[in-house]
Amino acid sequence: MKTLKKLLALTMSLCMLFALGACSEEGGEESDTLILGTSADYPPYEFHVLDENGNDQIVGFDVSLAYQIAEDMGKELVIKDMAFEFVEQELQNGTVDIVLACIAPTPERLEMEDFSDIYREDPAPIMVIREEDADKYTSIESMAGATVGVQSATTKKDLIVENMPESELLELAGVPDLINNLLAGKCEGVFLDGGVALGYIENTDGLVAAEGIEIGEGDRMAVAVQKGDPKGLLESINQTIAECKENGKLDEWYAEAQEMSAEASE
Amino acid sequence: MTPLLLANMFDFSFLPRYASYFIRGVEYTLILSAAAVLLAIIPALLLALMRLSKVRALRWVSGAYVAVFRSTPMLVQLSIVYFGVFYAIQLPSYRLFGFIDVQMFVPGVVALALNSAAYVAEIFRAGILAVDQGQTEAARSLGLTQAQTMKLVVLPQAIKNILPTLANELVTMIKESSICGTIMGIQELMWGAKTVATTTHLMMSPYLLAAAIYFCINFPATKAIEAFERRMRRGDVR
Repeated sequence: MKTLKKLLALTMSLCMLFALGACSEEGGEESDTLILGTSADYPPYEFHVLDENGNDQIVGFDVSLAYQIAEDMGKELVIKDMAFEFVEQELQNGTVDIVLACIAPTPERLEMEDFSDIYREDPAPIMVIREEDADKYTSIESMAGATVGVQSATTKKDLIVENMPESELLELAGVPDLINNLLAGKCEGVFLDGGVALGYIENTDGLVAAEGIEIGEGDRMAVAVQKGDPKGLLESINQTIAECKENGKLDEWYAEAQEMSAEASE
Repeated sequence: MTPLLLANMFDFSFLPRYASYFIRGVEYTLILSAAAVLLAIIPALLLALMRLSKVRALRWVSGAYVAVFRSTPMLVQLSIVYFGVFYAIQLPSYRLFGFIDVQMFVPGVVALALNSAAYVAEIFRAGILAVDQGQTEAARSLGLTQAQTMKLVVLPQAIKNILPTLANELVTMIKESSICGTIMGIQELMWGAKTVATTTHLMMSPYLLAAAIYFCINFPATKAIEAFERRMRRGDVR
């Protein structure tokens, strides 16, 4: 029993050390970092690549803008990557300060969080289908009853529910899984943001956009902050967005992100 | 049905460029699962002893714990621990060894360990019960106290039954830990495969590589455990 006691004492003291370390860490850091919540499986908006030294890095259009926002605030950007369906929850919890994840200020979301000015209007959402079905699915009616894949908690899901009530929904957290389902013939189409859909169509054999299926408009993307903006971030964010719109940086970043995504898929 | 998925199935052109996701993934997976099983051992031993105790309340508590954790999905447990418990307990942002993010790693290890403790407790209990009752009777009649009997006679013999099964639990944990990548984005092996699939738009081959790596870790490990088990049995033959 002596050894057991020693072991117990050791574990407990380790725990305390940990807790103590936790206290000293927190104090200084809080104000000089800006925590970005995003879901980095969405090229070209946010995705993982390796830098020259082989280190994992999150890049993309949204990320470039987030870095600029942090820089203009004089803060250091910290990126927290998670599944899309948890992004808003973490923002409401306050564990992240801002969210740039291709999100649009919908009425439902506006009730839960505040948004900046629009920084980008995406091309309209696209129904991605298999090439062999290109002649078959030419209108919303022609896809009646077909299974359509959508990402959980997105505006695209709501659009399909409203406009294609007869279709079966396949709802998953990640876009790659949706694309796999489409390729494997488990669903007939995947409904994605225009920008992301084009990336998959260009880089994956056998996928095309369904001509003649137009549902909804392109997402108007904005930066989300906590409801009521308790951290007072919105003014600076809006200023950064206005500046970057004017000096063409937004377009530059988007082109850059597209290039990086294409290059990463080579 | 469609040959589309098969077209790029064996396209491993993402190597060697993205190999580091898989290397880091293996490191992460091994550290995560080893930490979880090690952390589970002491609570599991306590649970097993409680389960075998004469006090009904202790038996009940231990039984309830094991029942709850064995009868609910790991995915649910992980979600509750990560979004519930570790929302209440805020951890500092700190990186262990430069790459292990404490804010994700600790909840991951705790959730896996809580789950593992239930299974390991059963492993311990079975191991202890498998020791012949005559051993306890002999020790007690020689004047050893109950605690001494457990510590000096029963547990040393039980270890022989326990170790191989415990190693099997580690193998299970290596596979189970992949859900940490899905829920909280811990950069373990499966997360690495998913990330490479997203970035390269290659839909199948990264997963195949991940499967191959899991196999290459777990298959030799199971073989080694079998050999070890045989070695432990050597004393049983008369």
